[in-house]
Amino acid sequence: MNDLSQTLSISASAMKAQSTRLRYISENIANTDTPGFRRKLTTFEQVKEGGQATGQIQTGRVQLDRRDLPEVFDPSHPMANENGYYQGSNVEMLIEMSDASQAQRSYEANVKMFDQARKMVSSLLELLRQ
Amino acid sequence: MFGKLEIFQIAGGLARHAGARQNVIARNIANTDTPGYTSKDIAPFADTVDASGSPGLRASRPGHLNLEQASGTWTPKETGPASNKPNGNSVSLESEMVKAAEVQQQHTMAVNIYRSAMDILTTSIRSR
Repeated sequence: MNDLSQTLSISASAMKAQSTRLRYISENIANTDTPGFRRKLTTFEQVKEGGQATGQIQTGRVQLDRRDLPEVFDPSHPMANENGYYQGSNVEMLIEMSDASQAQRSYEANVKMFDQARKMVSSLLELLRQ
Repeated sequence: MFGKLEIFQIAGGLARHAGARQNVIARNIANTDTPGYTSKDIAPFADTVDASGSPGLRASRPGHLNLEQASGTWTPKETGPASNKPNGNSVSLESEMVKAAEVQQQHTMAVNIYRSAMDILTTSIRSR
C-alpha cells in the first residue's frame, strides 16, 4: 500500500516533468522566426533526498542550444547588417515535432502507470467492504 | 487449506510483491529520459516462496539470508542489456509495459484469491 502511494507520486512527478518539457518545446516552436532566438533544451534529473534517489524526477535548469545561428539573407529586415544578412533562430521544426510526440508518449506511459496503481489501490480497498 | 490460514499470507505476499514491482516499473517509466539511468526490476514472487510450502530458511535477525521473504521487501536490481542510447539510458517503454501488464494480472489474482478465501471462511462461520 505504501509502495503504491509512492508510485502515484513518482508518476505524477514524471507527468509534471514531461509537461514542462512540452512547454519549452512550444516556446521553441512559437519562436521559430524570432531573430537571434536560441533553442531551449530540457534536462531531466532524479530528485534526491539526503543523497538518496527518491525515484521522482524533475526538470533541471534550462540550457540553450549552442549551435551557430543561421545567417538569413533579407536586406529589407530591420536587423539586417550592411551585407543584407541577419541572424535567425536555430530552432528546427522537425526536431521539435518529434520531441513533442516523444514527450506525449512518455506522458501517456506515466498516465497509464498512475491509473494502474490507482486501480490496484482501489481493488485493495474494495476488500474491506464485503 | 484453512488449517493455518496460509492462503491469506500467500495472497497478501503476492499482492505486496505486485505493489513493490509496480513501484519499480513506475520509477523506470518516470526515468525514460533521465541520462545514465539503468532499468531495474525485482526477483519474481515464485523465487521468494518455497515450492514445498515450508517457509524455507528462518531469518530471525536482519543479517540472515532470506530476509526478503521475512520482511516482505524486495531490493530492486539493475537488469536488462546495457544501454545503446547516446544518453546512457537503458529503459525500454515496451518491455516496461509488458511488465506492468504482468503486475496487474498478478495483483488481480492475489486480490481475487483473498476475496474468495474470505467468502468461504465467512460462509462456514455464519450460522445459517
